[in-house]
Amino acid sequence: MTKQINLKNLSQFIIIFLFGVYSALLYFEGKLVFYIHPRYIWLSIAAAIIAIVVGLIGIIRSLRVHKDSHSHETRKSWIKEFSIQDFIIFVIIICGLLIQPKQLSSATAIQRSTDTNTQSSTIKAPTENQLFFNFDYTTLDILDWTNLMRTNPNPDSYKDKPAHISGFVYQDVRHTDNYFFIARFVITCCAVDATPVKILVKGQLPIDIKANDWVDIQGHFDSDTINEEKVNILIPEHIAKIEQPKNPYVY
Amino acid sequence: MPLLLNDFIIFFFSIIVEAFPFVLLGVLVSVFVGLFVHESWLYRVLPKNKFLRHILIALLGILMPVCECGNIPVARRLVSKGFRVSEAVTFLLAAPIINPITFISTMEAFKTEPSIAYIRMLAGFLIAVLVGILVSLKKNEKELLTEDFIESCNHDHEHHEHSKFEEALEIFQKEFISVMRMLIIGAFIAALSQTFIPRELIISIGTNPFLSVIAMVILAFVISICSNVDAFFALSYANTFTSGALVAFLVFGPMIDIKILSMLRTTFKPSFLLKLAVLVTILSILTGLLYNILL
Repeated sequence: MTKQINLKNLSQFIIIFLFGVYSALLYFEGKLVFYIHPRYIWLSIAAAIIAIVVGLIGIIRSLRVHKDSHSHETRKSWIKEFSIQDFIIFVIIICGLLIQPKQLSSATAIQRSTDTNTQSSTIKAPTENQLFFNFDYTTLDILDWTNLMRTNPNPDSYKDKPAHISGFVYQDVRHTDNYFFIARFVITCCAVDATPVKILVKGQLPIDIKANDWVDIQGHFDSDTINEEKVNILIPEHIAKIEQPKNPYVY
Repeated sequence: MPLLLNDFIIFFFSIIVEAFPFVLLGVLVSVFVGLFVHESWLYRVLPKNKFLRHILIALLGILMPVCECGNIPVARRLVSKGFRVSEAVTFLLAAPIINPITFISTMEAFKTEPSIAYIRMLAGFLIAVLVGILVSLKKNEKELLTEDFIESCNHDHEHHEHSKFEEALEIFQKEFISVMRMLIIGAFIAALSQTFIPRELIISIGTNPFLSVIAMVILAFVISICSNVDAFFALSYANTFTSGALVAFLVFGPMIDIKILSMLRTTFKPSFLLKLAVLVTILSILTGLLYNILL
């Protein structure tokens, strides 16, 4: 009599368990928001719990020893059943656990630069009363500004309006050397649908700031004519380098 | 790490992380169906008339509002329980669209043009029923299934001596691993295309009412976004594309995209999937064009 472990079942339940662990770890490290919209976080946690529990039960049952009289044939058959596909999934999950995600980069912002018409149902736009009673424009974030400008594209409407926004910076070869962009990504579902919202800033990047660094800019809006088109530009009065926020996206 | 590689990794894992709970939900529904739905129940409850059956099956998504990733394990289980392949196809095409969550999110996104939501539901329903009926014309529908899937269905029928708990565990293991394998492949291809195909290239062909529909269908295929929130994504193109193009995106995307096609490989032969994809593409484009012309 010999003992055998069902290696195929064991490896697959380990995979199920690891998927749960991966989601759980992302949550506890605050990194789920790098990948998915916050509305899905509770779903990921629930799925993680289920996968961990089912995975553990499956692992324990797979490790149960079975007695079998055909030891020679059995050893060959369970090695053959171990799937290379399962091994690849295992490696991918381990890579996911080990890789430290960074934000989406300016490469994607440039690649998706035509995706500029993002809407949000929560625009903090001033009402007529607020405009009359001196609305504080510095409370508007980059998404609010881009939505406002999409709704009312006339650059003269924003002349001298103060702004205080944060985002990552980059330069686009389609603009002259005397400008850079400050941007953030908006996501609807997960990072794969990320769309950049960006504002053109006049001037050079400070010497200690490079592309994809996060900055906080205080300034005011004006306009310039670029490629025969009058566009909004932000005139910076103060640029400070900041840490990448825990959640780099806007919604 | 090079920027594009960094972004590719984020795209790849974001698809997996986002789809994981929905796949799990679909697997749980599949376990439920596997344990408690008997073949005879399906024949008692569903009408005998082929058209009525497909109509009713197209409305099943109202009861099971999981996204398209979750529908695949459910459809596989329904086939193993006696659903015809054509009926499973109708379910797979309809369920991601004909459900309350998708309807509500589409209405919310397109408050100023609610006809987009209504036409999405109607077109999704009609395409799912029509395609299912067309598939039912095939004499031996089982020829559309992969041999592995047929074998797994036969294996299910042989193993009734397990306890319910063991059977549940076995169904969970099989469905989860089977679907996640394909999701990973789909996520890889979708992430590659998202990283290396410039969005500008797709959008640049969208300047006229006909090409804009084509462009949005291509975008839907590449982006592989879930049907319960794709309306908000489509909304961001509302000023650039015609409404018909947006409708085509909203109808086509939940039915066919890189991720879904990859996951469907667990069950259907590639030749059938290709024909299915072409048919759904044509019908979705027609829907978009008709919307532009008539509305």
